[in-house]
Amino acid sequence: MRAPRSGDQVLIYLGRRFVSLCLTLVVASILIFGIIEVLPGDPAAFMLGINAQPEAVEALRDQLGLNQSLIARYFDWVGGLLIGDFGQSYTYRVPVAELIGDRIWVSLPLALYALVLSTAIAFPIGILAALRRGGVADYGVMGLTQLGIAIPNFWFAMFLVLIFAIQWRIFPAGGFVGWEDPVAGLMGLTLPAIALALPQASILARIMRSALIETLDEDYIRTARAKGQSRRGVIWHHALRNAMIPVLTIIGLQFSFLLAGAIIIENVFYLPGLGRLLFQAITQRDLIVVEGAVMLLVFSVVVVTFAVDMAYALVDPRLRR
Amino acid sequence: MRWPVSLIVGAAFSVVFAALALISFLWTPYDVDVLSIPDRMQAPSGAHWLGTDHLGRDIASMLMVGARTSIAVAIAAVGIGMGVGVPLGLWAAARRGGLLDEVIMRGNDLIFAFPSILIAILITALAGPSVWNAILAIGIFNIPVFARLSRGAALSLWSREFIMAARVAGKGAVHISAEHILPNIANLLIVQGTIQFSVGILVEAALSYVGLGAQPPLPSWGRMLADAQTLISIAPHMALFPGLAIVICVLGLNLMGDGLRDLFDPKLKQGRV
Amino acid sequence: MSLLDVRNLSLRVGANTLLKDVSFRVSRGEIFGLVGESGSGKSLTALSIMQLLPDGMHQSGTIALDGEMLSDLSEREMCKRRGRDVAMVFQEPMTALNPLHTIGQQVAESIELHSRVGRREALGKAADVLERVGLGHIPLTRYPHELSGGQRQRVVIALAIALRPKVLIADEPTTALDVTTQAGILDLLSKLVREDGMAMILITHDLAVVHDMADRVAIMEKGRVAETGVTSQVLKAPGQDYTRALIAASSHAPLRPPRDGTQVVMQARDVVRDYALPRRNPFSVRPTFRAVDHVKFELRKGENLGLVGESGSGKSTLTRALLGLEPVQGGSIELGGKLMDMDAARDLRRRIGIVFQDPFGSFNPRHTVARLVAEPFHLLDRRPSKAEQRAAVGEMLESVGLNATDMDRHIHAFSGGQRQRIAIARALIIRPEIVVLDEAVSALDVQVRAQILDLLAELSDRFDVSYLFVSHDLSVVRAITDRVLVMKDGAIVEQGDTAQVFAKPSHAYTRQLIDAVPKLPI
Repeated sequence: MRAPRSGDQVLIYLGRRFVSLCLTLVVASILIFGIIEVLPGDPAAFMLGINAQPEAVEALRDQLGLNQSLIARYFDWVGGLLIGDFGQSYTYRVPVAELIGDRIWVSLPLALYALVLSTAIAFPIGILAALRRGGVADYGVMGLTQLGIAIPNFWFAMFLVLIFAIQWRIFPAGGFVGWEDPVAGLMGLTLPAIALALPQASILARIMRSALIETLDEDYIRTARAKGQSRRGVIWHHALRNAMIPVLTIIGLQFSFLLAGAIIIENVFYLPGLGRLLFQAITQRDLIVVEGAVMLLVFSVVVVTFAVDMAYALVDPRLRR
Repeated sequence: MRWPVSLIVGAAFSVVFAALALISFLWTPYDVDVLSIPDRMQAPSGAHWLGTDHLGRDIASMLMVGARTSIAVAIAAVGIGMGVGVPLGLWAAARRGGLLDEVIMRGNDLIFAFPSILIAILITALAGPSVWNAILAIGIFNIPVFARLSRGAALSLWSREFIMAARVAGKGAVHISAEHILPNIANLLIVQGTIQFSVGILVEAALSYVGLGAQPPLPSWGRMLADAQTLISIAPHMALFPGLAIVICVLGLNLMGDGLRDLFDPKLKQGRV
Repeated sequence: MSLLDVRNLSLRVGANTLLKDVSFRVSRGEIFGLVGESGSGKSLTALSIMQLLPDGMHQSGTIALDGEMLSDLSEREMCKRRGRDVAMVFQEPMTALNPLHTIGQQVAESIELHSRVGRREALGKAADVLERVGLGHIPLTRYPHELSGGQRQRVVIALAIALRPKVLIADEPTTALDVTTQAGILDLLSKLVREDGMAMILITHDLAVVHDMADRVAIMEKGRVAETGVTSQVLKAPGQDYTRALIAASSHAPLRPPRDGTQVVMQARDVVRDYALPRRNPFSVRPTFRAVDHVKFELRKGENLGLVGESGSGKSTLTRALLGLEPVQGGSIELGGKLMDMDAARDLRRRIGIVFQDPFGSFNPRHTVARLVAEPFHLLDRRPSKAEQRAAVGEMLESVGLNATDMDRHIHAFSGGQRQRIAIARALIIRPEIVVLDEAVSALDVQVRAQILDLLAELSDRFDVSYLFVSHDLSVVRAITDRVLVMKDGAIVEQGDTAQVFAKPSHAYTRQLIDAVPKLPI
């Protein structure tokens, strides 16, 4: 009995993950649809207000397609999603796709910016702490990151605004000028990205450190030392790549946290992102917008999860599941 | 055995906050329900140690009462996560490789695709904002955390010889899970519980801050920060102290978690996260 | 002048002395055996020569290689010596290689570290070295997980000898391998020593391996060298009591009257166990792997039956099926005429007990000994009272050579040998007819192993119990069993009286197995 060759094995693994993630998306869509459409509250009645005529409500229900069977409505909705049609917003009276399309270009870049920052901060200090294990630098990094994890990002954001926007006027205090001027756009997202990145960088640095230290205890590190590799050499040539496996998992998870965090941080900086859209839609009970936006966020999380799986396939030749 | 320093410090912080929350039921420096507009936005002073807010309420008193909300939400959410997640994880491990295991794990993946804020948004869309909403959202978010942890730990135990010995002695999966597996993963669960507790406090603050958690007049640290935001250049103390309360409380819990881990397994000390 | 000269090497951590005045010399082209039980300090001696001791250890004494004091070199200088002048092969081939690098890269790394060659040239040299260790047919681009244990150990050897070091240290290089694989690796090592004229320090717990391989030997005991000398002389006429005890224990066979019962207590008829493998693609039929292939045998009352096989032979799967812990896809297992399977009732399960290999993993660390030993009472219809259970546990503990008062302690308070006694007490507490001993003495040092074998022999007479002795270790099976089954690739290839099978094996595989085992000349 021979194991299949590596190439096949990776494909099988990725194929299996792909199917599983598609399933996740399908179930997620049913869940989101179910919660929003089936459970109480009539959007038509809500949109027309308390004093609406029953006939008017009924007419609007027809117009919105609310009188079709549930299953038909679900397939309508999913079918629309697949071709980028998210339906019509009840309050804005414009296609939801258009609304979301404008906002996603704030939220997604913000989350990615924060992810880049978080990784750029976490890697060097995590590696430093592992190299100087038990030393002053290690204790310093461990102490600071412990603090970093405990700081709520939106609170940190308020003080960033107070210091860098109100006192020193380096960065804008809020709002977003759009991407016509990329530098200005990036400047506008810098403070929010820093606020988002701080706690995640702290977590990632600690994971990096402990993954490295754990890897350094492995037998193959001793083998490499016996070949004549120096203490530094084994870190660069052996430990780092092996430590990337747990670190990658965390980076994948962090994207989801950062996206969620972006929804909250947008409130501090008055950024016209998905978060603000979502909150407005909820207060106005514009549920089709909520549906679409939540589905899109879940979709991004799932895509990133799959990207992480592919990264695994690159890093780890074993990939036996 | 020597007690880890982080455990002592962390436990001390946590006990102080728990005590403040309990004392607030009997006594607070000022009544938090009474507004006093003339005293609004006072800086810290002898009368008001941490100053007053935009409605003239004593911030120290508000923080004490707010601690109740934070702690209650976090405890309830960890309770939901453990109460549902651990049995699911143990069950999946007992049926490892089977259909049930697969269903439970894919269910976990599904929940993982929803950050807790999205769960909170969906529940709010459904039932309107409330503190229950926060509890439920954070609780659901905790379920896969505990399910994965207990499944993973239980799986490695199931392959151990002492479990085989129990099976040879005719014990069933339920019996073995309760008698052999649960006690051996309890330490892990306690450590994770402490960490999820602190995460719960952070998320509750965030949810309340955006209006999806505790609703007025229930004082909560997140709401206090929401109120303070627009006034930050006039009255920075209004934002400073609730934030510090969160930081110290979360820091204490995390230190306690680290300390507990060192206590239970000194071997891991160097490699801790 | 000798090539490697270790003088008065001592090692301590805090107040604990781990090595005390260890001295020996090794000459060019010589194989030097370093023998001892676990904890005797033989691996620490090796790590001292490599200067790769864990932090916090304090070393004194001198280590000279070809006239150069290794013990005085800076870490930087030492890095240049490791791999080039002195190299090491480790015990565990499964974890000794970096899982993310190809085998070619890992051998090339040794070469690149010590000579100014490009990647391509280094890989070319690596291919030559892999050829030398008998892996010429394996592409350089393979990853460790695609190789067997024996092949991985050859890769580890290749990266150690890539630069033809002056001294090669091999630390239990074959302990984790099967006997037939072991023979190949040992042959390879002696060939390399002969060809390169290097010196080798062979660290092992197995006197027979040393006898086959080493020119001279040092016997280590508790951090000291008990005795040094030419191997054949030390083994023939040991100068120390400790050496004598070791040699006696290595070939110990308990005295027991031969058994020839007639009543069959366990019968296996054409047992088949298939595992489903993962699909190759979503549309293919699930392939299966046959782990147990039409196995039939019987176990008679009071008999000691051996089940011998190498890893992957299916003996563990068969054992689990016999215990009613795994389903079978064909045939049947009967205990006293009743069917034993996954759904077997307690009245059947109580007829069979088990002792596992790992003295550390086979007990719940949170329970007291009393609770651990009493666990099988679960199988009785009338559960004895607490007091009765304690009385029974106390009595059983005394029967296995422990004290009744030990029952209130936790398992971590006991040594490996004591734990195996407790495991035996647990297996026998409800007086089963059969006890399965699954590699029950494999993890023990030779002296403790001899004591446990004596205990088992005594208990089998006393409780009239039949043993199924599952092991990869032929010498142990030979010492304690009446009959033996030889298993290979899921099937039983030979069975018969132990003495007869060992004297005149009829199947080629059995012969190969027996020939592969190194033997002491007694």
